[in-house]
Amino acid sequence: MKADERSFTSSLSKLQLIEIDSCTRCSECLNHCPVQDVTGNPAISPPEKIRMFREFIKATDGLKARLFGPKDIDKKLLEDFTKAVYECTTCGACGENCTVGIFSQRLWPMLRREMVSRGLGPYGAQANLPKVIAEKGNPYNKPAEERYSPWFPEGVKVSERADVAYYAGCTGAYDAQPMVKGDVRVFGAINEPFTMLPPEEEVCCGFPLFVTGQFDMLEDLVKRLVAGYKARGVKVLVSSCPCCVNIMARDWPSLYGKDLPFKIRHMTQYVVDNLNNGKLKVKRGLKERLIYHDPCYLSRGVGVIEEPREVLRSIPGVELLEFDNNRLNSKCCGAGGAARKVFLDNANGMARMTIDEAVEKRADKLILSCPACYNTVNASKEGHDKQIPVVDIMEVFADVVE
Amino acid sequence: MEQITREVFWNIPVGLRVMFYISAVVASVIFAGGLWSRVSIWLRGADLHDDYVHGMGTLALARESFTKFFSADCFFAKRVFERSKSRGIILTVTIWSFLALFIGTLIIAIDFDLGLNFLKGDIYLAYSLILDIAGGLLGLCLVFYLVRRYLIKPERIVTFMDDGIVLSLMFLIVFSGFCTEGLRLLYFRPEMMDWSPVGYIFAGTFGLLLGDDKAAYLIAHRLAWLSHAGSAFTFIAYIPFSKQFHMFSAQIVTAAARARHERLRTILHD
Repeated sequence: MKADERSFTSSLSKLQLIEIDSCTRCSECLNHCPVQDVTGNPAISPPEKIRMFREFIKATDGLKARLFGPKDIDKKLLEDFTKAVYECTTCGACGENCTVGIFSQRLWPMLRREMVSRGLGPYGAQANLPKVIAEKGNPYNKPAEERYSPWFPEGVKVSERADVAYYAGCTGAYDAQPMVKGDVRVFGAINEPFTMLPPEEEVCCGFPLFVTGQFDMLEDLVKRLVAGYKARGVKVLVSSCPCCVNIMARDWPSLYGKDLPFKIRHMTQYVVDNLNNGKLKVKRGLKERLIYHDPCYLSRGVGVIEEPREVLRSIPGVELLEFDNNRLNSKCCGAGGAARKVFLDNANGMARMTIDEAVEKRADKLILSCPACYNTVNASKEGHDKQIPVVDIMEVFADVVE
Repeated sequence: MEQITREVFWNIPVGLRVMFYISAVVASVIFAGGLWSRVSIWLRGADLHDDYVHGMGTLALARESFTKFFSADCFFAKRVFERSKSRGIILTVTIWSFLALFIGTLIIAIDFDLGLNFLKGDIYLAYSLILDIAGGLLGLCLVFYLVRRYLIKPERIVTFMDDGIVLSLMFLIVFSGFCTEGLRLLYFRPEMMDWSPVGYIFAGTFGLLLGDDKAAYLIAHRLAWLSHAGSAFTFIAYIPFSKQFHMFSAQIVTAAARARHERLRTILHD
């Protein structure tokens, strides 16, 4: 492929271009990469992706390219790179353990964005996301009228206007319904007014598009959602989906064009607030050994680490166990980066490693706090020799506060 | 008693001295071109409002790179230490010894080229001892890196030609430097030569290899000097085109990572 006039730097920020120049290939990251755990293929490792992208930049922008013109880049090389960058779960464990401190959880989506702009990404079914989201408002190609109705618990009242709003998110609403049902049951137990957008207005938060590098529709989606919550007088927007919370906190302000007119909270934070102010009371205990898995975009993404543990510790009788890799060093369960539907074997492999460790530690239940994790880990149980109940944190918590 | 010092460019004919200065200029020009090229690529990136380097131009980035070099994360390899104590020590020693040798080279260049002639007597002995130890330590660190990359490899490691070139050039600079020093010491056998402990070992080794053949010392010294100068200039010119460029960029990224971790505590917790 003849390198076109356009630079390979166009999708990256100044800091990301400095990061590209900073990898020393010390390979510390490889010890923490979950994709390496299941594939063992260094060609899709973080240092190799960075090295290849640096070569692309050199081909279009390096000193030689500027003096003598851009260099040809082999099409196969670009395709291999695209596959490598999409096979990643963007969990960010590599960046967390990077001896330099490269913010990889943010870098990989931007490399994907560059490949999208060149017509090489996204990968497989991910290419349908913009069309499906434009038509249905969600990436699952499901009708808006089925967004809440199959799971919304009876007896919980949603206000037209309220200070607090709940965003269910597409994955929870369509693919991990016990989780969002648990959220709303807990809202019911708190018994404070809260609002939700009508199902046809609660569209995708933009995360699947962001993480696959397809940025065209993002601004429109964000502006629609923000306008909806603003019209309802919302001051705090709560969601239990780490990916939604991540993009809301990190990217919505720039996509919206200014500071958001409300604060963003993760569901576990909202619960801890209400436990602390006495509006929420734990009514029953639970004699169980629970192991909590930190979702990558919640712990490394937005630093919500202790709140889920506080929620679980508030239940009398619970013995809280930890994975060997926990908190900022948690291991991806395979659900991240929109890779789970495309590289299913990898996702299954990672999810089963999560199950295996939970079983090995003799936990009674594996507790998650992310709809994508919930869906992936539960799906991987099929045909696996080790079994454990995989439940969402609010699913468990709703049972003890109602 | 004879004044203790060393003659710069001893045993180097005028033609080679001229070549030395021409090579220095060529290497510096290539280095500057490469540096400009890479920094100008950085500046093409989007200047995001919440980026650590938001609003920074060339000078601000250069200042950031220089000042953050002395941060704990960089100067004491804190991020590496947190992950591996042995590698943290090795990297810290590498940084310190490299810096000592760099400053030492600057000092002798100033002393000689400006005709100041202050490197003599006790000052010279201290200078010689510090640089000798720094060179020895850097050499040991490079052996560690070479062994880790090519002999006793971790289970997962990614290595490319660039890694080999950088490590080989650095090792050649150190090794040829000690060969040059050792042969000079062997030739003159100065009274205080044991103030250059590593050079002293090299002198002893060459003494065993070459016997008392002073003419051989001179030829070997000139060859060693040529290797030292050649590898040093090649390394300088190669830095901006290699992974070794991280010596200018990594401290900015490390500082940004520190700031990002601070923000992680507030992003949803204000």
